[in-house]
Amino acid sequence: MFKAILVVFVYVIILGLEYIPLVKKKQIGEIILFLTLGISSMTISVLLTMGISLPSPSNPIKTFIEMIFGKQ
Amino acid sequence: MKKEVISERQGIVLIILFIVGSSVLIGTGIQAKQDAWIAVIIAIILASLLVLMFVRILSLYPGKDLFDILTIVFGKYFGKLLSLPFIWFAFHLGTLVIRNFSEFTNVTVFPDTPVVVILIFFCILCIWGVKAGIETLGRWSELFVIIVISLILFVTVLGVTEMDINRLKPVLNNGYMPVFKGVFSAFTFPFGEVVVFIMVFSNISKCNNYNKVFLMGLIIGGLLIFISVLRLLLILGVNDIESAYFPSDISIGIIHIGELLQRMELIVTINFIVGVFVKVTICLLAVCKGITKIFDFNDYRFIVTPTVILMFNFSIFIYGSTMEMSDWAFKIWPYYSIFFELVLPFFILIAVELKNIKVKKINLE
Repeated sequence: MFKAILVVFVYVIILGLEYIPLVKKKQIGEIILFLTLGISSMTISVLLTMGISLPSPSNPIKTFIEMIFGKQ
Repeated sequence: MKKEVISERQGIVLIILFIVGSSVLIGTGIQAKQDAWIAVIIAIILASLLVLMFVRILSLYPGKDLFDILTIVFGKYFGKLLSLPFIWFAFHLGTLVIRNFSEFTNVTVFPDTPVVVILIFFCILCIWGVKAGIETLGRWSELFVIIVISLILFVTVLGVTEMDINRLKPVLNNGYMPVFKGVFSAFTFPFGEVVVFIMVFSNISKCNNYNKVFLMGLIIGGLLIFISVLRLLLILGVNDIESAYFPSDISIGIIHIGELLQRMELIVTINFIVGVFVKVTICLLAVCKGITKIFDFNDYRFIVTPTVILMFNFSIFIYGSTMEMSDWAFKIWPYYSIFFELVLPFFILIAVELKNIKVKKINLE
């Protein structure tokens, strides 16, 4: 749990450094896109630090390819 | 926003470093066994045809990159929908290359250091590189390509004492099928990956001469790959290459010349890091440009940091182990990437040409 809080803290610092200039320029669209990407990557990081194994995109691709071309 | 312009020479250099990138370490076309060198030559010839296709797409719309062309040709919504697979491809490629890098450092260079520590510094460098823009990156590569090329040639010359021509024999012993498999593998990795450049190159100082940039880059990069694959085959032999994850590293570790010149794995590491940095940065540029073009923003720089961090996160959980990475890269990647490298660009080319004919007709009337 402590690690997860630390990760969030680091993210707030890193993203904050870039977030402030955007707010000053009042670019709403940019802010929304920036926060969406930033928060989604923060979520993944927190989940990874808490030791939860996430589904990798390479497995579905592998199944799909093997379905079409046969087992390699 | 100021338009960024790179010279032809810088374009060529970027393509060379991109191609040399990770393949100089891992080797390519190994499915062809001892005929991998033949496979690489055939793959270069086929890839130059592919590259001519990319050039045709780009040269019909000077000053535009792939995402702009897609919106012009297919309209606002369908064009944006079509640019999604390309963004995913660039993102996935960047992720895989970062993963390669982290596995390499973990397996050979720094076994006891946590992967995340190395990756964090690498990612900071990447953020800096992408924010500086392609112009700075081009100038940087112009300097570093000299180091990379001379190190590859230097190591090859030093390795002559360990080489044995008999490791290439018997030529074409297993028939043509393995060679074709090797060609397919070498064509998709690394030559076909040049597709990322049509998302990045929009301004080269002389727009009408994309031909020279892509072909020269491909041929010089291809020759470097050819030299390194041939060196691997001559020094190690095909069995050792197949059993190693990073054969280049071992082949150079073998070299012993006197007391002074030994344990030169560091040379491969330098090459690899320079190549990987350029490869990841170009992929990131493509991803960031693509995302911002989809949402109609002018500048891509504000999105760089979250994208890099996202890529970094993906690279951690995309594979479970080194074995899985190697297996995936050699068995699944060719079939998966050919869709983005050959099939999609081919359909886009047809659409672009049809549009071009239509526009010409309207102009004539």
